[in-house]
Amino acid sequence: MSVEVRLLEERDCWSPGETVRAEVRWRTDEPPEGVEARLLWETRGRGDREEGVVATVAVPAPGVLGEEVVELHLPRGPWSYQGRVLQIVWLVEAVLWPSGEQARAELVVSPTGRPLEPLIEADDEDTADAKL
Amino acid sequence: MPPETEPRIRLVVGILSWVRRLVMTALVLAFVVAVAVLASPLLLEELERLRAGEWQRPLMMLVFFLPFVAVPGLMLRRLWRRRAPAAGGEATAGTLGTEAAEAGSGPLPRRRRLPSSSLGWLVGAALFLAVGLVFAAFFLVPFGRVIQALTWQEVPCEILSSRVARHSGSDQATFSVEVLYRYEVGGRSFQGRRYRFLGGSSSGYEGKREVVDSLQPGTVTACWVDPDEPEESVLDRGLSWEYLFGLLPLVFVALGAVGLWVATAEWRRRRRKRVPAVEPGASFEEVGAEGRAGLLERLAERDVLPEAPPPGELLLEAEISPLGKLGCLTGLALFWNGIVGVFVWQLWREPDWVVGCFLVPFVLVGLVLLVGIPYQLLALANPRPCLRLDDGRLAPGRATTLHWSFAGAAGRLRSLAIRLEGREQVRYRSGDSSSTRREVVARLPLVEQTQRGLLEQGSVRFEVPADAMHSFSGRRSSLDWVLVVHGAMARWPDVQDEFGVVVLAETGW
Repeated sequence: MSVEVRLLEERDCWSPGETVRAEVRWRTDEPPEGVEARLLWETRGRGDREEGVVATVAVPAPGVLGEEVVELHLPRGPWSYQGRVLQIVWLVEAVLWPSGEQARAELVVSPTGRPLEPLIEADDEDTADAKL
Repeated sequence: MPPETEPRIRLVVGILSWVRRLVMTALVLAFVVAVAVLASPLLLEELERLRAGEWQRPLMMLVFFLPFVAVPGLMLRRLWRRRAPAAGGEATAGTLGTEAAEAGSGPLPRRRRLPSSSLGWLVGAALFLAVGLVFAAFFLVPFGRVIQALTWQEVPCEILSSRVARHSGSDQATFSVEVLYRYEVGGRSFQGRRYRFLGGSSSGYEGKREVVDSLQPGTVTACWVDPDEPEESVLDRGLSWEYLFGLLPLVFVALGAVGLWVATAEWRRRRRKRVPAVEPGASFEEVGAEGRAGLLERLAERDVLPEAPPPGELLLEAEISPLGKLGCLTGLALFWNGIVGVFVWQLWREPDWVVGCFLVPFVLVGLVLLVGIPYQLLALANPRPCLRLDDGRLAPGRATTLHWSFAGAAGRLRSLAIRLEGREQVRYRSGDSSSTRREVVARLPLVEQTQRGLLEQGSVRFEVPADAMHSFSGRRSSLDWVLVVHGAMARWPDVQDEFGVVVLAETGW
């Protein structure tokens, strides 16, 4: 049982508002109930993780073996970001139902062609931790 | 690192961790024992009072000492809590990691529980609320009777006996009014023993003596009788200053209620966001896309991107006004000193060096809070900055003009600095505690002025850097932009204000 996802265009960065084309392939012993492709962002870094699903494409009642090309529309944000304690990463995710098995492919969504970054160097004075 | 050294390092780290826990446990237990020893005379005295039927002070003491037991208890629980292994090698308990770890049982959602840290807060808040309610009930029930008695009938009565009853305590006796009177309603004779609704005893003797002197046997006076239940009566249906003590437990009730609200906020938010319940075994199509996506806690675009202000000029508002700061500080100082003041007052009447030493740190904190009030009061007289943007729709690469001016005595300013600052903020859980981490990731000086005459008002054109990140506001992480105004004052609190702005996910080039 396996599922794969691959971005079809030979590039790493997409601009907000563009369409992402991805190919989802799966092979299972039993016919799955469905396959779903999702376009989402997630936060990484020091904080607790958050995610936002912005588009889903469902393939109901697929066979044990198959592939599907999906087109997912990017919203205006958030942009990919490589901050100091916060990172925002974009992904296309394929999920087999009901096993939950999944595959992911990362992409960059930015108007500058690369993830945005902090504009100043780290400084101890600028750092503050507060416990609750 | 040679592979054989890794287990040794782990062993050393493990031993150090145990040593740390044991030392911390010993310190916490030593604190509890010290508090118990120091407070034991006081507690024994309160037990005596409780036995004598006086409940106000013992309950007050119980509420006061509750945190001294609850906080060490929570600390010990946190120290010795068995930590769950991280899912999928993730250090943080991210929602996806949690769900992925549960994938073996299928992707259907499980019942979400309160986070353990919220559970700790919940228990604490519930305790506050319960103790506060019990304590408040002793005042509120008699207060309710006073209100009820407003509709009672005035009936002549004859005093049969009266005396000041003495209740022995370990160091000081307490007193109460005991009275027996007779009255008639509808041709039937009744006897009553209630002087007023607020029962119990207290330390003042003279006041009770005066009451008893005015109620000598044979005196004919008036009592108040419930027309529906004539056996219910009272001699004095009025309010007394002692009812004001009822406000104290209400503070605890309010704190407990707020604590409950905060502790369950995360849980309520998850309930709101949770998709309709998915029955185990539901099919792909039955569940639907929303149900499938809802297996993970996820946010929509509209939740995290800032709302664009209307085009054109934008008048900015300070995030916290000086009046707001003063109000918060005053509220906190009143709350703190109000509670501490009751105990100081009690100590004034009955000096006790053990209790006095115990109260010292609390009094000091109260004094610091009080000193902060005049400081904030002085800051009220500061000139107030007013900021205006020609175009409030800030975006990377987009230029606009910032206008500043001051309301009030701006002539007292010595220098002025205004900067645009970008700040990352994330919240994360570590054990039972929740922490917030902040980092300044962008700082653009816009105004740095020391020349008199140019401080009071002016304008500056600036551009948000083209490679700046836009504003982002997740539930547990955010990137915020603020305009920070700092005006230096001579021998006076400085002007320090922040004005939130949004940088849109648009490009200005």
